Amino acid sequence: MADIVYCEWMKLKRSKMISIGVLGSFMVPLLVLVNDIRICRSNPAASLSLGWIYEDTVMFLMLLFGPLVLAAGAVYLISREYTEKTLKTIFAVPIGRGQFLAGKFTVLFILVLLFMILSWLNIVIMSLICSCFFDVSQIDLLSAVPILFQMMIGGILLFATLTPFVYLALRAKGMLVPFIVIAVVSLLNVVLSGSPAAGFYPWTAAYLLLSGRLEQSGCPVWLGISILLSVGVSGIAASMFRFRREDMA
Amino acid sequence: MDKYAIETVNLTKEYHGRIVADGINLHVPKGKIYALLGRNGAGKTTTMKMLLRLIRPTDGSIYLFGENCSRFGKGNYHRIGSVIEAPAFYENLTAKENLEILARLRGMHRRDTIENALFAVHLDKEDKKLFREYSLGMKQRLGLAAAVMHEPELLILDEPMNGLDPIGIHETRAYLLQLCREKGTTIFVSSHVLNEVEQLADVIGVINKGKLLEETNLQELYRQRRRYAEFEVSDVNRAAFVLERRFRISDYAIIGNNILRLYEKIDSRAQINSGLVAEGIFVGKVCVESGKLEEYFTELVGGDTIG
Repeated sequence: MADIVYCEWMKLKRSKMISIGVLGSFMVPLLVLVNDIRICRSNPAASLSLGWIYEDTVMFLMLLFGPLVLAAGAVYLISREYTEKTLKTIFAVPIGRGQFLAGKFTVLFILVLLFMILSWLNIVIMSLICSCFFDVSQIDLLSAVPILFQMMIGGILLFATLTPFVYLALRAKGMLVPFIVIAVVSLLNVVLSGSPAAGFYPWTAAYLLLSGRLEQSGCPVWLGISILLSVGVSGIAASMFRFRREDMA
Repeated sequence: MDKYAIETVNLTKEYHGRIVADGINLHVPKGKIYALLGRNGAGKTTTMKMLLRLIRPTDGSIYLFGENCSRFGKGNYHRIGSVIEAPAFYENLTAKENLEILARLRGMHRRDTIENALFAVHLDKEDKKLFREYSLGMKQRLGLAAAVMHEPELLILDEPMNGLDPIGIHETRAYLLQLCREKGTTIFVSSHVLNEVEQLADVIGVINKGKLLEETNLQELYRQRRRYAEFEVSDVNRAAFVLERRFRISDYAIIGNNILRLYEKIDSRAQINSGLVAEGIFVGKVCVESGKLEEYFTELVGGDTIG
């Protein structure tokens, strides 16, 4: 399994998806910081803090940027094997289809966690730089470490919502259809974020659960967790079932 | 059963009600080069994909090295190397990196295996180039390197000469023959280039419209198909008259308006030529031919439509 994961990692060498992800982990905290500074300038009562920057960043990451870019990454991991026709080369090795897909899910999970860690690092670094020019509170290890822990949990929740896109990529064998679905899912995230249905919509529920607002939205925590768990598991199970039966025509 | 590297029994594949492989019974002897001949869309690639478990047969059994495929895991597939259709690798990686992926998946961690494979197909100087920058011929050679890297006992190659230049074709043919003769590797190739097959294969199987029509040893085929002397003459009826009356030849055939084929007294063709000329018959060409693979193939599959 270690070799399969290593090979999956190798396949991403020189890949634009990695640069887009790194750029994204940098851009979201930067834009949030710029916006927060603007708010502080127009409202003298408001003051910058690491917690505030984190909350705004994680909202954009979980509701918009994460589903968009990380889901696109998930689709890319699968659909490139179809577009570059490499499956027939790999399966002739031979490796098991279940093993192959398990490798893909593992790499996706690692990518999501790395994305969250990188975003956390950027939040801390940018807040530190910002503190040279403005008054920024909570810049200490005691505040930063729990935020990292929270973002890792966010990554796990985000991963659970990404598995259906893997299945979709296996079905579609290309990028167009999954990308349209990703756009619709992200749009619904924005539309539903303030509505009572938000807690029942897995992609919004992940954010609400992480920010501790799931109960407020009207969805019991146990139900929200169950929804996310079933989305994650069914995405993996459906992908495995589909892929094992597929002809590499 | 284990005298065959590959044996299939009633191998069938059906796509949405259309049968693309129809009860194929292949017998690929160990240590030989077997060429599966067929027109485009005859079912060659589908058969090879079924052998490699890339597609699931609708019916039938596959035996590799005498063992039923469905009864063992991945074990026997480690003994196989393959290139199916155009070689496909990761575009953003170099030849070396692509081979490293395959080597690791095979559980091979020695770097010299990759270098040796690249050297064998003359790609050792191009190992830093990205796969997307490779020409079709270079891609084909990298596919071969990937297939032979782990020194397999059986090679399954789908149209291996596609995209190669004449020197590349010659080198690849020599390499495959060397693998077969020196290392005893069984090679199962598909092709529609008959000239290529004639120079490479020991055994051929002809497939058409999903059916395996015939399997035959190429040398045996040439023995069975008789030699003949072909005369191109100005008046085929008069020439036939001369053959019968003067040379007592009855085993001949008239092909078209001016071709005569003699199946007896072939070694007396010089005297026959003089006799025909003496009778005022103009002889444009005399040659000795053996039954060509092309004729055999055309007779079997028919040549009425463009393949």
